Amino acid sequence: MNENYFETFKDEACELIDKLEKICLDIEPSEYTIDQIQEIFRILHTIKGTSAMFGFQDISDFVHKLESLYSEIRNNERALSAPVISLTISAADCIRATIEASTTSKKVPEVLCRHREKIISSVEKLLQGEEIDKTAVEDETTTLIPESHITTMYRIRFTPPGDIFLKGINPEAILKELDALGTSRVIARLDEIPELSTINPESCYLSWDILLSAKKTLDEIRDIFIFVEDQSAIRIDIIGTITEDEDEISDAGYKRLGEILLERGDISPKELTRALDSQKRLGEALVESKAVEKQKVLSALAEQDFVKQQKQQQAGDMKLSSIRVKAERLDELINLVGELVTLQARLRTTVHSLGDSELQLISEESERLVEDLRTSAMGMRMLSVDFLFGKIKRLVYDLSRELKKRVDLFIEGAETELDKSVIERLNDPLVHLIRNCIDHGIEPEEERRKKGKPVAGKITLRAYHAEATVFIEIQDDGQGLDAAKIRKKAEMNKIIEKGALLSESELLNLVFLPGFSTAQEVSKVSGRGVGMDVVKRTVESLGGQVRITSEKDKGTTITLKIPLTLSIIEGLFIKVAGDMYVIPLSLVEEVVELEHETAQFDTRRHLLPVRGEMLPYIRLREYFDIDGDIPHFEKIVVVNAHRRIGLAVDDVAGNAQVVIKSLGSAFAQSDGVLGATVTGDGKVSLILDIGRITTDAIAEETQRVNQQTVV
Amino acid sequence: MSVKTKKEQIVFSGDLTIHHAGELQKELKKHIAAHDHISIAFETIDSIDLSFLQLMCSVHRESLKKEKSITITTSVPEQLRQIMATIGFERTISCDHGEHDDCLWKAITEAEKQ
Amino acid sequence: MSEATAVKTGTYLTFTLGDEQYAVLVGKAREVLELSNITKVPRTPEFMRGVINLRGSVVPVCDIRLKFGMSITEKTIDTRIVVMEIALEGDTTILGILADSVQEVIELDENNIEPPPKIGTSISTDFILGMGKRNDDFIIILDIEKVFSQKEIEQMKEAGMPASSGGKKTET
Repeated sequence: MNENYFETFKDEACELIDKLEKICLDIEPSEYTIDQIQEIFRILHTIKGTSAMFGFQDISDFVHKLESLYSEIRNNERALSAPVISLTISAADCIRATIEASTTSKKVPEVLCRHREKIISSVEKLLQGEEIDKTAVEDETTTLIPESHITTMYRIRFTPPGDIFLKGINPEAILKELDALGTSRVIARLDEIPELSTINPESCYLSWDILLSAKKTLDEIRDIFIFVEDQSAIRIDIIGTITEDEDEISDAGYKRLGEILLERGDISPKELTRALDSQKRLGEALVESKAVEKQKVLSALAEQDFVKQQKQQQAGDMKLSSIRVKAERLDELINLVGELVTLQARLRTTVHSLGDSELQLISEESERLVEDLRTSAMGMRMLSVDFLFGKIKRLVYDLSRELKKRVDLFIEGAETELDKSVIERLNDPLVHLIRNCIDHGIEPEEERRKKGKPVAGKITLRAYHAEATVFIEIQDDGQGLDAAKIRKKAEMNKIIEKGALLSESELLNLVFLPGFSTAQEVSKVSGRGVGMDVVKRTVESLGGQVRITSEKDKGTTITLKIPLTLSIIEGLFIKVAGDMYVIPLSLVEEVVELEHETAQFDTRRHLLPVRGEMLPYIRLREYFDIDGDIPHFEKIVVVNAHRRIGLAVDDVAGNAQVVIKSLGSAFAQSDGVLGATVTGDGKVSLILDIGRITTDAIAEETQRVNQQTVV
Repeated sequence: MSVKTKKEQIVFSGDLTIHHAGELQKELKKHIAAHDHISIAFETIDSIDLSFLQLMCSVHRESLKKEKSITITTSVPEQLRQIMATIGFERTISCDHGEHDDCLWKAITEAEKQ
Repeated sequence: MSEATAVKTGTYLTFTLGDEQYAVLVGKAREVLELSNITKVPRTPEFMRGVINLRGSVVPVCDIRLKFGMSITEKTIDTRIVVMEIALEGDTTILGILADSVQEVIELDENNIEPPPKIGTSISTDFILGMGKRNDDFIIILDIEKVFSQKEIEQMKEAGMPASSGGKKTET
């Protein structure tokens, strides 16, 4: 039967049964309405029809009986009695159990059939006007399916007969069926395969060690082998169980390699003792002494690993299900912790000014606690990027088909964790980058073949941690970016001046500027009006950065550098006209001093030399229209959002962790300000939106250049 | 099923199942006898079953014995990779035949991992 | 906010802007603060005086004198920030308004409340819910939500925003 159809049937039927059950529980034998009876009749009728359609003739027949009972009630030939209601409820359970059972195996369990018979006979009695005992069908339905909560781990050694192919049986199907029961690991044993000259290609020389972890009984597993059990050697051992209330995974629970081999009968106790005495790793010693074939050791090692993995996974699952907290409550906690961090900063400032050493100790102690609290509270919002990467897998699959390019995706570090809100916002940029990768990066098969590359393109999606930052890399082995082409285009679009001196890396990073697209033609896949500049902007709005490196015909790597969390950042405090502002430290490259009169810079162009390079700069005082005199010595903070620029400020006052607060809807569109933070002295400092300021600075610079040309 | 041979290259495509196992063996025998180096290539494959994998293993064993080398020149088709996973042919350590630490499946498994 | 409900008997917080007395429903006011350090947010309209730290939260402060066409609020010993909780398009927003002084909390009977006059007030009648009468004084009851409705804020932003993205170019 088609899986999808069955799923639909199952969902529908279960919904109907739920409804039926609800009515039965509401209804009172003494006072029921004709509407209720109609509804029950209608539900039964529908179940009867659909189950017949989907081949559940037994359910259909069963429901038919019940339906006749309700038909009589509807026609006022019979009164609704308590036994009828309880019978209906039992029947509902029975139908549900039958459908459930059909999803896992083809055979309906014996106990269910018996129960059904019982209900049918009661219904028949009623139809014939006999009385039934109310308890006759009392529920044993709850125990109908012993919903096993115990996962059992099995070791199966399966040696099919040599002529299994000729019997029309494919062992592959059996292995697949086993895998469908739960999680399996299959190790084929190839030692019996003869050389080409002697092999009978229609014979099967293989045998298998299968490790299976499933919520199934031994009998259910035996059932899989039903057609081959007579001629095959099948040995099934239980090697362990995992229960849901097992909350500690101790190493004591794991069997040693020697133990496993002994259990399997692959070695004798004598051989084991000898190998253990040899002072070598057991596996090596055994293989060397020819006590056991290498394959058997491999298989036993696989078993050890499998058991461990299964137990750990179970433990992991349990951790997930242990507690559910609403996202808002978590946010609330984070807010409170944020306030605490702020208060702590204030405490430190105050204590420092008091100069009391005892108070200082307490403050330091409290600071450590607050720091730990912050880390653990932030940790609660962390999700692994696995979720994000999973979607990418699907995207690569679809796109490679759509574009007829073979692409293999490799994922590394999917367990890396990031703040939930960051993960959500990374989705679109990643999708865009992957599209670009497949569309423009990876060459068509023919071209790859000519270049001597593997036909299938390779994309690696990698995530890893470094301090408070997560790096996400998208690496392809495609054609790479053409720096010369980028330069030409940038010059044409007036993004850079003709012949401007730019390093290769600077050239490559131009693709992130608005209005830049290297694709020769807009294609359906990547030409959706979202450019690399949007990727850059999104990442920057997360306080992150994007870098691109590329080598012709070797491929391109795009690296997203993203802070672990959105709400707390490391900030550099700067001072303008007596007010403090914060610049995200992750964007700061260096701070240089600028003496007004002696500096040799072009004031009309707002350029100044930093390490031999002319750096465009913007004076924060001017950008923000702040009154007052420019001090004689200014500091230039060199920031790099999408381009290096200088930010002239009055002074720099050190760095600290700051909690980002929104300015609220009233300031939703304030330019150049990302948010605010409360500093140790209780004042509010604004956090600068460096990405925006950079864009404005460049626009202004361009304007100036244009004005100059006009003059 | 189709087996084309071109110099030392042998190209598999089509239906690589038990139905053609006999023919395949014949072709392979001929090919191995005639060349010291065997290069294997895959074209579009319709279906594949474990008799083919078994046969490949046996080719490899034969080549080891006769001191001939084997290379796979195209990428490994998806179907082959899938069946390798299903029937437990993925290897990280070679099987134990003679002195050679050499295994076709290990080579494929490792190539896929990179 | 319909006028019918707003002008009923209720408890009001009164404060002054210049020489005139104003009132808001006491339920809208969260607290009254002494004037503290206000951090100006650049490139915003003048009546948006900036933000303050309210126990760790960042709260915007508005100078409604400027909105009502009066001069900017001067800092005196009586100047206060009234922190209000107002509903803007379904969202509750917390913001502070500057008052030259805060008077008292009073009961106003609906018999003592008259509908907004058509003419003769210093501020737009759109912002007035009614005129309360107490002894011989008139108290202007403000429709504070109207004052900060999104439309108003946007209009004022447009009016108050610097025209171009560039700042003063002292060195050009």
